[in-house]
Amino acid sequence: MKFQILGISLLSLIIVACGTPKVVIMEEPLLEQRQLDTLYVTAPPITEDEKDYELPLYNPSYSRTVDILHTKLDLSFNWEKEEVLGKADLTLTPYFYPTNTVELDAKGFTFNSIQFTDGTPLRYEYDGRKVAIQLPRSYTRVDTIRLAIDYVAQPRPDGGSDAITSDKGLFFINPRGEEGDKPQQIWTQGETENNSRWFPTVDKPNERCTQEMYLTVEDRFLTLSNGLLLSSTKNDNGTRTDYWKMDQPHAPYLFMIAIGEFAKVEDAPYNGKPVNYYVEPEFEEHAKAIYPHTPEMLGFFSEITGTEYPWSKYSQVIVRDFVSGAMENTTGVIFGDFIQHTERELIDELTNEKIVAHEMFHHWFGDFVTCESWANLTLNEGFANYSEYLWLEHKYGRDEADQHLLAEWEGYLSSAREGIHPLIHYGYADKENMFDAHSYNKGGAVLHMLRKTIGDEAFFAGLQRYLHDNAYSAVEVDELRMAFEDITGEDLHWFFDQWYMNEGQPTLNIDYGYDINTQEAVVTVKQTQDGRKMPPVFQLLTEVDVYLPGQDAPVRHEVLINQRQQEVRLPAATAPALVIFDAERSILAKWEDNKTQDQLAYQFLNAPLFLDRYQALNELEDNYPAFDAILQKALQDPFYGIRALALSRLSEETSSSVSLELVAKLAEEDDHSEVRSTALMALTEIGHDQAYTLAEKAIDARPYSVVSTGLSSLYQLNPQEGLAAADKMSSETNAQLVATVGDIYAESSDQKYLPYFDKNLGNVDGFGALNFFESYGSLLLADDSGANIEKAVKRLKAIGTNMGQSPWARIASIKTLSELKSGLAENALATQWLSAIDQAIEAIKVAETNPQLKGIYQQF
Amino acid sequence: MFPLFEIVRENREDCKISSTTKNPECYRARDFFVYFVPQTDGLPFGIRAHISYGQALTELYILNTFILPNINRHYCLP
Repeated sequence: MKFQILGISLLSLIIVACGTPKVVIMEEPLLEQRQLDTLYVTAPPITEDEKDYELPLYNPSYSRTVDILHTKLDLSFNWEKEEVLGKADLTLTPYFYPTNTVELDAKGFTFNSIQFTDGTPLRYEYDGRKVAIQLPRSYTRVDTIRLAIDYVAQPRPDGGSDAITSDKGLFFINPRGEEGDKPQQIWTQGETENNSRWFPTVDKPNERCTQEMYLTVEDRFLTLSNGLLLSSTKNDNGTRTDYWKMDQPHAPYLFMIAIGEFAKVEDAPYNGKPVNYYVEPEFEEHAKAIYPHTPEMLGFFSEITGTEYPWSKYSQVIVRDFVSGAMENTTGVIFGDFIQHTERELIDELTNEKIVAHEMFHHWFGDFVTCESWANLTLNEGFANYSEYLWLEHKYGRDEADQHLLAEWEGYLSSAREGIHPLIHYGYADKENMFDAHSYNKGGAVLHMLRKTIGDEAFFAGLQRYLHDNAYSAVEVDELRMAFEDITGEDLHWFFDQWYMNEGQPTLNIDYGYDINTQEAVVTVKQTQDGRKMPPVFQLLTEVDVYLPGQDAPVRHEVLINQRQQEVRLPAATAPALVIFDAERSILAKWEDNKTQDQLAYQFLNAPLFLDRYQALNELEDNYPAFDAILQKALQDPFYGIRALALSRLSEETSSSVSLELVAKLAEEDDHSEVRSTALMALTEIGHDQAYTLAEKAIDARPYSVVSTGLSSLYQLNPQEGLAAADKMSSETNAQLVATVGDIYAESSDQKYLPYFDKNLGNVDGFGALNFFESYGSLLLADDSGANIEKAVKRLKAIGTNMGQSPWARIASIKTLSELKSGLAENALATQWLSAIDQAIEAIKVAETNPQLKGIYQQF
Repeated sequence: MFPLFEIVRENREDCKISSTTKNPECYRARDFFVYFVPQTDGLPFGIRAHISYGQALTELYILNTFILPNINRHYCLP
């Protein structure tokens, strides 16, 4: 009994002492007091296994020994050898402790000289990645050191990651002009620590300095770098030297250059600061559509952060073969060419502006205030991710933003199936792994939850405080927490501990009931996540809406969930028609929301948010009595996402009772091209009598997606008309139309259309390439004589072995060859081609340089 | 940094548009990109929304070659 009591007391003591949010239930206070025997506790001997215990992996922030104050670079380029010829003047000072050594990151350099700027030579040791420069004496933090470094850099990759496929740092594109019409360009990608492949620096996110950049290039090229272009001087040898200057300090990974024959388009200045866009010349007239709403966005983000855009200009440039999506280099954002489309192709397309917003918001969160270490990357990327929501909410309304949030949640949750880690992750195996759906999607979702938890006013005031207190400096997550605590007066450790420092997310199982005796709505919330891998209990401060029959608006209640299983009782004079837990739909969780079909129907008709209607429309069953009526209403929903979802739920059963006139009207008039396309497709599949007329009209529409649907529908309804329409569009270069025309030609089985494929095989890219090549293969196999096989095999081999072609085209080539081989197996004439196909497949395997593609090719 | 896996995810939009071209495989592929396919549905693996460029190529190849001809679209829905 004594030991039992002592045990309970010790347990209570441990629970109190730990003070973690994992603790659930406290014991009742003990009322009985006894004198206990003395207890001797002896540590067990260390076992053999325990001798192998190690401290957990911890990646610290970089220790600062020197502080670079200013970097001045004078660069020219040897395109033939892909080399950077550089002169760097660095102004620096010991960070705190005296030092007689300056260690710089400089990967793959050949040094011509390293000296003080007065010409005094300095000794140095270099291991190929870092150079340790010996100073003649010890310098203190009141001293200023000026180094002059003359070097040749040969940027070469060591690796890459899922997010950034190469760490080469500086890239020459088509440097010797050997890749046909591909533009010649030079551009850089510094993040994470790769700008030290083209200039010497302390290549860490907690370093920060101002910069000057002299770039000498052939006069035909434009240059772009950080800050302002102060002068441009033509040289006698046909080159030109541009002088760029950046007066505000930023981290080395944000330094950038882009060189190429771009068209430069000026937009309206923002607050007197230049706003301009660099595109390939044929896209000049589309530049403002490619980078949509840029000046307006600068104003919006300045307003909501309470911090006027802090930098001197805003430039955006598209480059070829970019190794990631886009990069927030200060005042000089680089994008991959996947965003470069015509204005017509960009109708109803939000991808570009989401990425523009993402990179722009980095100019506050990332560039102005920078994560101190890659473990804290979400302080950059979580904000940038959330900017997409903020912009969509501002520009297009809450429905559009919530639809985006849903996709972000799905992205995180699917990624989390492969493993979870704390959002602030000091234990990463490789810093490149930090660029994942945790740092991005979860980081943005957590900020959204914080906003909903503390309220809009406190959230945006907290952002302003955080930016003000940490301007031009590096931060850890504690600084973000303290900014919000300063503003709200609340202790927010509980929120930051569970969402930033811990891992995972709750799985919420919600049941709804009504207690007629107490006249209370009863919401039972069970947290069923695996408590061994993540907190068994998440503390959730949220809201519950109770809808009573006959009342216009719900009654909202604030509730605190802090138990593994918790019953929430809310006053309700009658049994509610509906209860919505997490009424603002902000909690990042896996949901098991156990609503009846009646409740879902009521929710669709009465609850206000996109996610309310989306859940209801998705979970209502086809055989629910009022389903068709709800579908009819959904087709008239103010938000296109719901209208499109409703169209996707049309079936042969429902189409008899849903107004097809309404669907036809959507196909013809809807504001959004996705709805128009989906409606026309539905009518075509149903065989509606207006489908043919609508298809004819659709092929004259502006959005290519509608034209493409119209063409496809026309062919389905009348192959002769469809083929004639496809012929008229065979000169179009839009990827969707090329794919659709290819589909139609393949289905026709007419070999006269092979030249269409010959013309376009080398141009298709991305996901569409797989389908287009597949159509090509189908058309070839439709001819039993195999007359065109030999020529096709040569063509596919040429594409598959050409590393200048996109990876999509290359894999599509070998895949099509493999399908030809299978398809020809039953052809009596096959033996004459099979050998050539095998040889082509082998040649493609040998030529391939992409290790991932090589892996895939083993299956052929 | 806007990562490549987001770009790959955006490809589902291309696919959605291509779905109007009466290509059933692509129509299904859209759903694969939007929704994870549960392992419990008896499929050998799922196609995820967040994958790298290389992974996308691998999975799209597998998707086109092995899965799509053999499954009912029902499995693609959440």
